Amino acid sequence: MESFLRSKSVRFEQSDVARTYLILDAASGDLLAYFSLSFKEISLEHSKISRTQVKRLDGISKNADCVRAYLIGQIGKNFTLSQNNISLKLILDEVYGVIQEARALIGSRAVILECEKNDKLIALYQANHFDILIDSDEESLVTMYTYISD
Amino acid sequence: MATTSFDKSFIVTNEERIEKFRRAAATPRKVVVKRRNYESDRSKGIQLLAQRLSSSVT
Repeated sequence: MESFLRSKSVRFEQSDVARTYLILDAASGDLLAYFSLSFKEISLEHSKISRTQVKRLDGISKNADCVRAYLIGQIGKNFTLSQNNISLKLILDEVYGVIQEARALIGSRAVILECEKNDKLIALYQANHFDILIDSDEESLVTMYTYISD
Repeated sequence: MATTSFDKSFIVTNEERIEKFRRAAATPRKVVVKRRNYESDRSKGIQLLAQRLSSSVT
């Protein structure tokens, strides 16, 4: 967490690759959690998908085979604090707040993230309405998704 | 969580998962979010961090 915030988050910010948000305790200024957001395309390599289905997914193009999604590229809680009660749900509420602002301007409703192949972690995201999208032997991480609206 | 997510291509080939993903697109989950003033939050955040840094230096 620390190395990402100290190095990569600044570089990503400067190069417009992603935006990083810090969740601070309003009284003490302690860093409770953070997340980084970007935008990605998901390719659906499905030969049987009909044009109507693609149109429903994409919303506009009849020929698209990609879905645009918000990427939670980083999400983390500060475990170095002795008392940090922030939950994944609360962090995600802040994530969705930012995404809703972006949605109002540029659209899209899919949200994806990657997490370790850890059953407890996957179950935690599933409890927060994420589902598995990519889980293959070739990939070291599991890609999960959810769809949101306002 | 690795930072490779920012650079990689996401390609889904599993037909069952594509179908489930497609169905989920039709029923997005309504989320209620707090309206925030991000400009104001940003200023407050920078102030808080500056206080933290100055107190940790002295």
